Amino acid sequence: MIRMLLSRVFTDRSVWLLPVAGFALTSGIGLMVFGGAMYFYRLQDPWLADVYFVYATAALILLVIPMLALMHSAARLLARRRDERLAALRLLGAGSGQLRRLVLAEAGTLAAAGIAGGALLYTALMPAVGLLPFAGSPMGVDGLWLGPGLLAAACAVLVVFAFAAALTGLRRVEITPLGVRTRQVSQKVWWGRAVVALAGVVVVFVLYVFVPVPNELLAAVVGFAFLAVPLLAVQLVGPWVLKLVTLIHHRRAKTAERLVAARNVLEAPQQMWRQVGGVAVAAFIGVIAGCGMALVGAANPEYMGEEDLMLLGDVQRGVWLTLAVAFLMTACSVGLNQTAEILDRRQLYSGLAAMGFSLSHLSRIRILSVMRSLAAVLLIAVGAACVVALPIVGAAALTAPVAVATVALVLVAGVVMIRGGMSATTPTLRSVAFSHR
Amino acid sequence: MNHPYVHNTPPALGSPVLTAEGLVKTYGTTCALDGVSLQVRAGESVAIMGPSGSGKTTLMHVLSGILTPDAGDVILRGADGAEVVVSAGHAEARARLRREQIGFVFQEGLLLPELTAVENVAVALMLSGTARKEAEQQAAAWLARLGLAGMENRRPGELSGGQAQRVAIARAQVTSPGIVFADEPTGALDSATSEQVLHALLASTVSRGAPLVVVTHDADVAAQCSRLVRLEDGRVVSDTLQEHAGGQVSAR
Repeated sequence: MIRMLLSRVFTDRSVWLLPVAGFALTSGIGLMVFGGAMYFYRLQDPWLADVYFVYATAALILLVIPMLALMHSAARLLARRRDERLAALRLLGAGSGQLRRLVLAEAGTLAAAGIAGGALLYTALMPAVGLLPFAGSPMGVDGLWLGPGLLAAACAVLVVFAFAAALTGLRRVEITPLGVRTRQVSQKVWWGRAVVALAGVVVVFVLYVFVPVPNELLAAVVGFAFLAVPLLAVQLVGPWVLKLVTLIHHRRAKTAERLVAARNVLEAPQQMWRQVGGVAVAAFIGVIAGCGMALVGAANPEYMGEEDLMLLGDVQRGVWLTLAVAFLMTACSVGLNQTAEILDRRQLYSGLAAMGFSLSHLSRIRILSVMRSLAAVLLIAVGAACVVALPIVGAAALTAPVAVATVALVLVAGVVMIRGGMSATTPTLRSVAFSHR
Repeated sequence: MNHPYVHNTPPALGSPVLTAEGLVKTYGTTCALDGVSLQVRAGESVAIMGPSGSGKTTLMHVLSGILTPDAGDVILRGADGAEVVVSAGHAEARARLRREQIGFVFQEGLLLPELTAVENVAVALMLSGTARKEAEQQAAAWLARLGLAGMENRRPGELSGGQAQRVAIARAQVTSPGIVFADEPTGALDSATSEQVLHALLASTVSRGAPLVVVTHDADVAAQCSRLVRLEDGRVVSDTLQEHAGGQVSAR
């Protein structure tokens, strides 16, 4: 039965095109980031290799969260449109095990097709991305090429992730003979998250300030923890703060659009955080590193050697690049998630359009939910960065205001990019809700 | 607090509210409506019946301005006597007309799952510019009238099918629309709940003096309406008044 159904997957373009395109985009960006990291890991000069290993690893860690969010969004889109068939199979008496196997087989097939597309995208983009100079020369196609072994391994990891995400997605829906519906239980966000996050930050701060560190290695570990724990704290506390901020929005909502948008976020603060929270980490580091680099750059260049200047330029470029990729991934994640949501709610949106909701009403509701959440995420992240690195940010604002303005500008550009991701989903909304009007 | 009943002046009973002339609608080579003419009057309840594919849903969509006809006109007369051509105009203008002057109840309810019952109803008013507090008060009054007092803060997932459908009825009535359309409003309910929901829909619409147009497969639902229009192959094949008390049916 599974083989028969799988053979039909690619016959209807509306079933496979969007999920496969989503997965291609996700894996294309993912492979490019991995290729970029490998460029630094393969540097021959021992001094450069050591320094860049740390930076590349830090960038990879920073991008893990937006990457996971993006994969999750792509998988969510993958899970759409098979709903009616699952319900029909349930009606015919298919068991949970059979349905699970079918979902996995389909997810695997579509993801594999998407990942193959992603590998092509990665290959096609290499000449352009390879022009970016790092460690004294452009990275080049050779520098970014993973090689067949690593490429295959990375693709295999992506397929495994698609399976995992498909299974997680299945847990959230009930398949009944009458249809597939998302379990309508509001996500609870535990207030204890705030306590745990705060405790973590305090402990690390106390350790860092008051406990003497005997050697350099331990100092590096503590230094890393000093940065990493607030990051984890932001991830932990983010959904809870987002919920609190949105509760205020809900209470103050004066228009129908703002009311529905706030309820939309309150329904699943964690899910909304997953969509846009990826930029929190990047914005956090971007602010600190951007200001830090600005301070170093503002110092007299005569005291710096050629290598120091190159490293400074590379780190600055690396920070902007990491931030840009994080925003790009988030924009894609928002686009994919919103597309999945529109498809999930096609009947509701079509009905609301019949009742007189206009395209601009429905669009504004979606834009308000995402952009207001994004504003909250950025405020949390930038606020946390300013608190953690107050001396750096403060000094940079005084001595290198242009560089600080650049940091702000990059964040604004990122917000515009995410807004673009939202706009990209409007045609889907129009076709779902208004095509026959 | 404004009571829902005194929100709008009802049209004079028996006066025409909706007039359709020579409606034609085709999809490719299929003719869904083939010259349908119909007049709906204040205070009446019209059941539209017919076999699958007879054009009844298309007729409802054209009458309510969701779809535009290929030929023919639909004119809606407001409480103030002003006439609006439903079948013409830009999509945005027709959407506004539906929002402000027409009420809808669908089989699936189509409530926003993340909103509470009272918010689902209030949103209809807020979209037309009513302040939130005022909108929520009117919404709560309608919910209470439909037997949902105390359930204002429940979400659709926490309501039974019948209760959710009554929230949808409250949403359709809260703007005091000049006419209400219902598409298989009891199609997803058991027979006992079905009867209660239909009664609530009829009472809330007709008692306001507004007409109700119901598209249905269900003969029991149609029997509760004051008029029955039958469609076949996109044409009206019968149009009869129904006398409920004595079960008397007269030709129109």
